[in-house]
Amino acid sequence: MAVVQVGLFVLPMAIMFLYSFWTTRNFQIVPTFTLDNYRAFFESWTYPRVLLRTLGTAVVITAATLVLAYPLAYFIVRYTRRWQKVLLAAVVLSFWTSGLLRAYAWMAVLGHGGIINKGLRALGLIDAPLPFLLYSPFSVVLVMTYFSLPFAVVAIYSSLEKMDWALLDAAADLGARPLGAFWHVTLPQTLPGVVSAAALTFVPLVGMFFVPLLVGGPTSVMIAPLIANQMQAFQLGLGAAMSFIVALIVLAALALPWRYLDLGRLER
Amino acid sequence: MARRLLIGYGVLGFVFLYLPIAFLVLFSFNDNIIPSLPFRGFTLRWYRELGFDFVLHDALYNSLVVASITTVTSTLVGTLAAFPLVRCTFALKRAAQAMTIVPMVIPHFLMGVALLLFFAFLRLPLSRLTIVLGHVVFTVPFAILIVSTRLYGFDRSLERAAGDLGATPARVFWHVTLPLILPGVIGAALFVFTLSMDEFLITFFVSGQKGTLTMYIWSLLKDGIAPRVNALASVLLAASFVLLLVGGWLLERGAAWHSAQGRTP
Amino acid sequence: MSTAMSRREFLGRAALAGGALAGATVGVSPRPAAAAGTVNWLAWGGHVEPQGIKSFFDASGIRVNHVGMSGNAETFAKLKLSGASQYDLFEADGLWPVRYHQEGLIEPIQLDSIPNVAKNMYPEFKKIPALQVPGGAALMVPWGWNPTGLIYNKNKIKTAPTSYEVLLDRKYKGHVGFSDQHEFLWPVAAYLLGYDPFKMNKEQLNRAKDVLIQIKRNAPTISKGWNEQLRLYVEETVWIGMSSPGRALTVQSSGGPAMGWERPKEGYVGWIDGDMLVKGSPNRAAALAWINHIHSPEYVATNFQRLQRGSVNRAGVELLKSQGMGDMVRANLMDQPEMALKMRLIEAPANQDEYAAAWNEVLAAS
Repeated sequence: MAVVQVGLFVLPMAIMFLYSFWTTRNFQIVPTFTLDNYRAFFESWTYPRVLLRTLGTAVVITAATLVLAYPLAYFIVRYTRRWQKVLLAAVVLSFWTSGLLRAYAWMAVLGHGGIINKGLRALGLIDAPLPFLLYSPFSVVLVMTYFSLPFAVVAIYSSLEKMDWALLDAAADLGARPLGAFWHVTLPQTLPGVVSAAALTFVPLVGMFFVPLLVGGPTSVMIAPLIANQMQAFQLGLGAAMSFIVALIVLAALALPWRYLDLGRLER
Repeated sequence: MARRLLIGYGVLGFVFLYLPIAFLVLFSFNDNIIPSLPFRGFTLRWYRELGFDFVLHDALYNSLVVASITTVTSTLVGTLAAFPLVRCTFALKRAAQAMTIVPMVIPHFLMGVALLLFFAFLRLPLSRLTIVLGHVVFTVPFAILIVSTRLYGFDRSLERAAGDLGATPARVFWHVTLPLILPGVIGAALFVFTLSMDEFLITFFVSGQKGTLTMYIWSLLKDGIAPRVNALASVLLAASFVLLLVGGWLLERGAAWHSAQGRTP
Repeated sequence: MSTAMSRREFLGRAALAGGALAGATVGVSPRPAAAAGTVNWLAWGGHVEPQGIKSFFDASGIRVNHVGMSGNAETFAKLKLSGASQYDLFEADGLWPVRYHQEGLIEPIQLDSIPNVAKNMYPEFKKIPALQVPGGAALMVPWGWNPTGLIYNKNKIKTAPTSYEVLLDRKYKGHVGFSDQHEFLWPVAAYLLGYDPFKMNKEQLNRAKDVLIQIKRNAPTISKGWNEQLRLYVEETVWIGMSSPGRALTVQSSGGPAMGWERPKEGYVGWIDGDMLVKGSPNRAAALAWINHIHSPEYVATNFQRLQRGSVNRAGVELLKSQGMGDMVRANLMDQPEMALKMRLIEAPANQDEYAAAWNEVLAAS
């Protein structure tokens, strides 16, 4: 399986790595070695700024996703016996419709003429449509969390499901309150699930480009569309260089918590 | 009290998950040329249109084929790859773990172009196979992560016990390990399928003469997504639900049958 | 979580289900292989009329295999990097065919050699200067077109706007349309500053970029795709923006307010899209037969009724008129082909990298 990974991933990436040192003029690739592409990323403050914004937003969304996903997974594991597998599959099933269509549907829910605004107006609670529901940081976090939720729920469920519930009973016997028991028993036991959920949520977020553009406001553009623009302009080298820089930074950002959470001690 | 809160939360959670989907289905019955509010009347004509949109049928078929093969491949590769990444200690392990994550970070645009260049270099003609290869590359990390979750904290003494009782490694894997990680494997499979069905950018670059459903939907962006696309999504959703319920019912029957037989679970 | 069923049982059932599914998919596999050939058509989804594909197959036995393309730039990148040999026909807007021709990917077509095109197309579209090669062949068989002017909500904006300046007017803050299609937005800034929209150098792009950022500040969002724009106009979030007359009409007929369309005095751009023939295509005859078929009045009428924009096909337009669609025809300028030639056709500038970098600045600005 390492062969597959290497073959399909490393080799094409090696090609792009090569390209990242070449520039494009008038739709023709100019194969002279240059570091201009890498320099361009840092030349104006734009790209680093947007990358930071993207990473910050991704952290917020990841946190929101974990907070929302954990209780949901807990609910499925603890309070549904018979229908557990079905409910879990229903979580995944919510993902089986085209993401594009669901994103457009969210706009129908959140927009000025959408169901929330219409409902609130009908109830007389507001006079004019709430502007912050859509095209705002709120909508970006909400909708991106929505898209990340199923992954996180499945990952956490995976861990939660094999937890030894007797441990919780023991904790209760020893006088622990529910919250304390959760923090000191449940959470550490399900840490692999949480970590996986975090990785599954955070990492793809950096590369997401369509949905944030759709529900985001004019000032919350993330890094991926910028790279895409370069690639569309046939600036393959520039796009490649930028992608590698972003990848490196994300990996560096992940390295810290990875070290901190030494999952090795969970391998018995 | 906590129990009631959690149950309420669970219900709310599912409502949240399915809210946009409910609207999607609503729009498929909406007598409006663009799938959006306002609701202008109930109609079945988009479903009728769906009936003879052969291009859409072709695209759906290609998507299903690609997604199925990708799922089997990625789940297999991901499951097998998860073991050494979790269990073994070897030099460069951290690097290897990082390498598994990297495909998730690379923007799909870049991956698509990279694979295209790669296939051109290999003189491999673009086809559903190349789409599958493209999808496998970016879905394997997801599979690895989800299966790893099951592997961490895995009680290996069970495996050791089975070994002590005389089972070969293969039997140990089949009868002890696999059942215990099965939820993870199935979860990974379900996700890979979803990811593959929905992917556009890589797919566009590495596709040949067989386009996928997502490509078709994206090609409608310029002129406006037609409501029959929503109708299709609704049909697929309904079909998946039916499959799900049937599968769940089968599992139930199997369990009931076994306990009736007096076998210990 | 006990697996009460043994693994064998489960796998057995799963295999059965899988087999059934596989069998079913084989059984319902798409249309049978054609007897008389195939055409591989990389095209916009909006150009596909299922009935037309079926009637073509019934008449000729040729199967049209449509592959969706979603943008000019991606398609160009893909075809340039891997060649177009797997396709017979593909599409693009504006002056992209010139680029493709420079890359040696397409074969120019004598438009009059295709019967329906010879008979049915407006003569103006047969001789678009920028898309001709010496000898009279055309790089692209045109299909539809749209000029991009100012559309505005007549209830909210009482006097018809005549200049792009209205987009910069602060009194419309939060109500100006701003799309992600930079090839239609650079001209706005360029015309306001007096530059050539597709030949701006770095200096000019810098200034143009500031203009666009100002417009962006007036917008509630960067809209992506027609669905989103339509919704924004219908629910009256956006009152003024760049679009075509047909789309103004669509807003109205989708339950939106009365909309007007104006040509800005500084000048305006537009697109003409169409099909190009791949050089060395193995299914050349079939491809040309398909082009012939889509230029029949029936196909044109169906497609242009469903998706309203300007048409190059006189016979189709006449058919629509005879079906009582005169208003729609007029609103979409379908019977005024000369309008198409007055607009500046969009093209990809030579200094793509500078345009892309400037556009990124526009997107990232707050």
